[in-house]
Amino acid sequence: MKTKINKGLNGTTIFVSLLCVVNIVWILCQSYFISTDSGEGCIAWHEDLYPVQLAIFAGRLIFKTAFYALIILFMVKQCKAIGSGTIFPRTNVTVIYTMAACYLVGEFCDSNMESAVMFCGSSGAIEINIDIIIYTILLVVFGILYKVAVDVSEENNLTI
Amino acid sequence: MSIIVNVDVMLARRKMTSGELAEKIGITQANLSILKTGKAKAVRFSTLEAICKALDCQPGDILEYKE
Repeated sequence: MKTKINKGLNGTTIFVSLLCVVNIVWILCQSYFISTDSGEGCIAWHEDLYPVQLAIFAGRLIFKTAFYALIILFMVKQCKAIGSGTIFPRTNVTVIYTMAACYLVGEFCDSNMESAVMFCGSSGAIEINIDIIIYTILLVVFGILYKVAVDVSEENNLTI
Repeated sequence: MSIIVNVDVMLARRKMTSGELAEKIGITQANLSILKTGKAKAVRFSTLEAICKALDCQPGDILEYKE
């Protein structure tokens, strides 16, 4: 039974990791091309908006990449922990909270990328997507529940 | 924690080693060490019963409350 769970989790980890790596490569390539190429669909750097444009561009690149990297880290840690007999490793709680923060900032920058960077702030408004907030809250709730599970698991291990 | 586990004292009184007690009550030495050092969060009644039986004592001889 345990071997079955391990195998299933290992397979899922490899699949998720591959998807995340593809996403990271996609973000890196996309960022490289839109920052170096000229023409339509590329960054129109504007002197007045340069700090904002740079912050949004860099924020999207860094935090979205970090988010996917953290997903890989979470899955690998979970796999290792199950292999060693611990179901819920405490270090994964921090990973989940960091993931939530990275998701919030990364997706916020992503949703504002078009209006603020590509078209040089043509719309003039900062977009706040309600979905991003909901998913971030869900991640935080998952983190809290995971922490409770860690505490219960540790207490169970310390019951003689 | 204000609950003190006196397994060490009882072991000395009965002239028994930790290994022997662990074997008698059917727990690992690591778990017995957790119990002795006060790191345990809870003790099952079945474990307490086994300890009392092995050491021929009462639960009050093993557990003590100190403020």
